[in-house]
Formats: sequence, structure tokens, C-alpha cells
Amino acid sequence: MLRRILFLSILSFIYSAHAVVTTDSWRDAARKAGQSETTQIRSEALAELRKQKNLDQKLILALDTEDRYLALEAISALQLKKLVPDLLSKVEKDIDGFLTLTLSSLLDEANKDKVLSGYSGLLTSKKFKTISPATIVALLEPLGRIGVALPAKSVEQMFKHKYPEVRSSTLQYVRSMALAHKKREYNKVLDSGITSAEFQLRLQTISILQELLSLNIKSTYSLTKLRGICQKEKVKNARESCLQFLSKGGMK
Amino acid sequence: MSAARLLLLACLIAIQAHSATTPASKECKAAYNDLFSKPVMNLWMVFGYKDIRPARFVGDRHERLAFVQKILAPCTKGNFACGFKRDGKNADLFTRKISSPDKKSAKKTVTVQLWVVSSSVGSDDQSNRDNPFQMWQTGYAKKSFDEAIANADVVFYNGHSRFGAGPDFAPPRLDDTGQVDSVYYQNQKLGFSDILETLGTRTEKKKKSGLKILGLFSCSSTQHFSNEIKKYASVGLISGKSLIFYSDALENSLVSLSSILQMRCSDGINKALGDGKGVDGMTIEGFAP
Repeated sequence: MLRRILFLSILSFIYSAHAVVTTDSWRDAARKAGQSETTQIRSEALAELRKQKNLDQKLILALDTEDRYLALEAISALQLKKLVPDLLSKVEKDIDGFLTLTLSSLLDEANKDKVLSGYSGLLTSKKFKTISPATIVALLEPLGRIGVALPAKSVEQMFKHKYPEVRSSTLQYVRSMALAHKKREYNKVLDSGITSAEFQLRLQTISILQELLSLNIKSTYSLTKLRGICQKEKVKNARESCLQFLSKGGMK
Repeated sequence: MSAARLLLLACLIAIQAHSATTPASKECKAAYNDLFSKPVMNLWMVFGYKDIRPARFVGDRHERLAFVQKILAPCTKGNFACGFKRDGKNADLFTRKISSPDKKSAKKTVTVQLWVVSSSVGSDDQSNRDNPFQMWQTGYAKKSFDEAIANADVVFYNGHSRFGAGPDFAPPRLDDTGQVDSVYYQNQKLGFSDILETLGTRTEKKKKSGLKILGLFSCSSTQHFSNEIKKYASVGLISGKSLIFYSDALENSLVSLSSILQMRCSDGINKALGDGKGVDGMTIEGFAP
């Protein structure tokens, strides 16, 4: 009997030790996949991740723990598109945008419409006020890149956000929509951008207006008008950069 | 528990969260008296251009914003990387007042100016390369970093090591396969030589001022940069021996900021950074024990 108990104890110990190794190894592999400087190490890490049993479940559970970032890394690295609905349901509560960025890395023709309409819905509904600034920035990026037109009023509202990072991303969205997708209904945002309190946003706006001008895209801002705005710029370094944007050859 | 007691407890926690520890050793006390000797202490956190190959994604804007959300949040017990207010005219400037460590000093508080700068203008590397504003952002981040090395009290870099070429604020040079050109970077010092030059000049001209703590939150920063920096200047150097995962680098940056504002000595900072052990451990060298 004693030998039997001893045997079972050893078996149990081996099993639990194995379980620990298995549990930790997805974390190690995810970390390696994310930090590797060579494609070989990354490939090995991905192979290790693929060997894991019940990985999907482990990753979803880990999203609410301190292993969140490793789980997101694994999901993105392995392109686990079946987890898209799970991730989409968590976007609203994403604290720092990294879950949303992971979800955007899984976009394809099959899931694109559903995910992007989810993003648009969050940005144009009352929920907007409860979404973290970092998540708003993450939501806007693929919409601009792919060319999903948001209502002009919502975009103008976004440009009133107290975080300048959200306003900067809104400008980036307007730029993408105007240059890549020929959507020009967001000019009011550019008008507001020029008078932003922060010099970084004023410069970003001037850079966009200069691009529109150089592509002969109809704008209410002529080169002379933009030059006048630059000359009135109060921050000395910003004034120099502003004029450089407009000089022949652009920014050096 | 009554509402009054709850309120009292909340106040006690808030007071504790805002009270820095008194530096333990004489050297440590002197180091913090020096660090906070001026009415304004300047601390820079510059994020390098963080492309994530093989994807086109660039992460530093997002990491910066996660960092900004944390420093703007109200303080909780034991965390000092918090409670900052943003400047109304400069999106990258945050301030907070803390008690002066020098009890003999006439000034009771010191203003901490924390500058937080990123390098990329968008999340897509290819788009950034086609965006004229990227060139400005790269130049702005690089200039910020170089000037901070010359003039600030504390500088943190959170970005790629670029195979030892050093802090890098631009979209990387790629090889024929679309990967970062490792051969090019291994043969160049780029951002790192600029640090050394600035530190060398600083050491010759004004030994008692300038940079006091340099944090390099990048992969294998100890091996890549530590020995050379120690030759040029005596700064408290935070670095790590391992490749570092982005969220660990971000967390270590916040922990280091919190430790400095809490006026921890090197043992305390090392403890908070995991004593250099494990996958995310880092250490501080050359700082008061």
C-alpha cells in the first residue's frame, strides 16, 4: 500500500511539474516571439507556441491577468483569427489600446467588415466618452488606413478630446482619408488644427495642408496663406520647422 | 466601517502615496539633494522608433500613450509615477511638485518637469516612410534626446538597441529582404556615438552638472552600452542584460521613474527592478547605495 501511495505521489509530482513547464512555456515562447532579433528565434518560438495544448483557452483567460501582454503577443504572432469575437467583445474595456491593436493585426477580408463596424460603432456612440484615450487612438488607425468614413460631426467631436494624442490621431485619420481615399469632408478639423493650443498639433496640421497643396488637392489654404500662418507661429523652433515644411523640397 | 473612517483611511493612503522616503545613506541623501537642488528637475522619457518586424506595425506612439495615461492617473499607495499634470501648450510636457529632500533648503518643493516624446507619427511603418511629418518627428525626438543628455537631470530611452548602434528615432534602414539591416547597424554607432560625444564634452566642461541618471530600456543594453558609457561619465546607469519584451520595458520605465521620485537608493531601485534577474530584470549601476 505504502509503495502504491509513493508511486502515485511521484506520478502526481511529475504531472504537476510537467503542467508548470507547459504553462510557463507558452509565456516564454510568446516573449521570445515578441522580443526576438532574428527570424530563426521567432520561428522557433512560434513552433513552440503551436505545440501548446488548449492554447486558445489559456490565452483568453490570460487576457485578464498580468500575462495580458504575452497573451496578446501570442494571439497576434500565431494569427489566431478564431479569437476575433472574444477580442472584439473586450475592446470597449481595453485600458491601454494594446488589445485593440492586437485585434487589428488579425484583420482579413472575412472579418474586416464586422470588426471595423464595431470600431466605428464605438467611436460614434455614447460609449465614446468611456473609452480610454489609448484605445481611441488604436481604433482610429485601421479606419483611416482602410478608408472607413466616419460621420464628419463625430470626427469633429473627436478633435475636441482633452488628450492631444487623440486629436493628433484624428488629424492622422483626416490625412489618410483625404490623401489615400479622396474623402474631403473633414476640413473643419484642419481649420481647428491650425489654431491648436499645442505647437505639435499646429505643425502636424500645416504638414497635412502642405501635402494637400503639393498634390493640387483643392484647399482653402494657399501657399501664401500657410506661409503667413507659419510666420505668426509663436514657438521659435516650430516656426522654423513650419516654414521648412513649405520650402521647396519640404522638410530636411 | 463608517463613511468618516473610510475618508480618513483614504486620506492616509493618499498622504503616504505622496510622501517620498528619506534617502537612507549619506551618499544617497547627497545624490538626491544634488538631483533636486534646482527649483526644477528635468526628466526626459524618449521613445525610439519601435518597428516590430516582420510586421509593419510601429508601437512607440501607443507605448508612449500608455505611459502618459499612467503618469496622469491619481497616485496609489507605493506608486510615484503618477499625479502629473499636462502643460496646456506643449503636449509632451508634464509637471508635478514634490517635497524637497533637502530639509535645510529654503525651498520646500521642487517641480519635476517630465518630457515624454515618441518617434513615430503613425502605426504603419510603410505609411510613416511616405509621411513628410515623420521626418520632423524623428528630428524632434533625436534633438530632444541629445539635448536632454547634455542638459537634463534624468534621461530614459525606451526603444530598440539596433544591434548596439544605439538609440534610434527613425524608420530603420532595411536590407534586401525587408529586414532591419543588421550589418549596417553593427558597423555604425549612430545614436550611441552621439551620447558618448555629449557625455564626454559634459564631463570635461561641467563636471558637477548635467545628467545624473540614464536609463536604457532597450534589448541587452548592458552589453551594448554600459562599459563605454562608464568610461565617459559617472552617471547612474539603468540597463539590462536580456532581450526585453515591450511591456516589461514599459513597466521598468515606470518603476524607475517611481523609484527616483520616491528617492530610493540603488539597493531599493535594484529591488524594484528585479535585481537584474529573470526575463525582465534590470539594474542601476554607479548610483549611491
